[in-house]
Amino acid sequence: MTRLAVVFLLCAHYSGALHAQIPAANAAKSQALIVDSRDAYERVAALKALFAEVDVKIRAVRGAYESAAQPLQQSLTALKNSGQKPEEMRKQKAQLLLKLANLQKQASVQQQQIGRANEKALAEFDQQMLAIAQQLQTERGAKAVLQAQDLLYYRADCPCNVTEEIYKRINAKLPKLVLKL
Amino acid sequence: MARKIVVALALIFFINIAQASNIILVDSAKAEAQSAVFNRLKIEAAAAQLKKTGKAAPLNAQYQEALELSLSDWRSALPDAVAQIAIATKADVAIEPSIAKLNGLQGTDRTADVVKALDVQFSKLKFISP
Repeated sequence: MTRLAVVFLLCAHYSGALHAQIPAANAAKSQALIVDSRDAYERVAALKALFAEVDVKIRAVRGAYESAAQPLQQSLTALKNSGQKPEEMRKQKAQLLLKLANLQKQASVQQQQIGRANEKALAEFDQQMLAIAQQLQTERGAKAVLQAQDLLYYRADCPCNVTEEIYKRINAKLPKLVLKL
Repeated sequence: MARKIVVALALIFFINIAQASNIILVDSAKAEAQSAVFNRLKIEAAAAQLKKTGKAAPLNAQYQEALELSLSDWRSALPDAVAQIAIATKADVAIEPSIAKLNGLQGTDRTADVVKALDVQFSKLKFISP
């Protein structure tokens, strides 16, 4: 009986020691997986491309507004020195200001459309990230997937850190995010 | 002899089980409440206010602010202390108990160890009067 206990405990001990030396085994044993997605904007190609596209579109809207508004602003400045009758000046100034306001409104609407399209694309990205995280959680038998920013500490080389794997999978699964305007 | 071996192996076995738990819990709010340095500085702040105003009363805004400032070094060192304890206990992760509970995770509460490490480090911390 005592010998059996010795054999059992030895087996248990060495299986534990072996486990500690194999990262994959440790990962499989982890209660929680960790994702540090703070650099996702750099590491996920689809996200990087999305932000570049949003940036280009916002700049284009701003550029279009500025080129349309510039002549109107010049006309406003010129109006002050035009020597016209005050009533005529007020009328022309009101017209110019109305045109400028319309341009601003138009640019603002366009920017909001881009913002909404960006949010939709990001929601799709979040959904895919969540699906991949859940997939990894199931594969590794973990109880939870934690975001690095919710932790007080995590070991940098912990096999429970699945960030690289998530980036790899998201880049394969979602090569592009479409900005639907 | 064989029994001694069984006892020794049983101990190693249970240590292994304990090490398999790769999460430690640290309750930041509880850490502050448990800290002897924190409590000492609170007393020093109350005494300083009493000396100045002549009245025993809860800390006013000025003294509360001075207390917070005096404690800031202790608070700033908390993440390092958590990391230190996590490394010493071979933990993979340190989280707040509330996060652990929310995610159905279990771990050993190491708040007292963190407090101890910080209190030793800041044993000479003093309340700086406003």
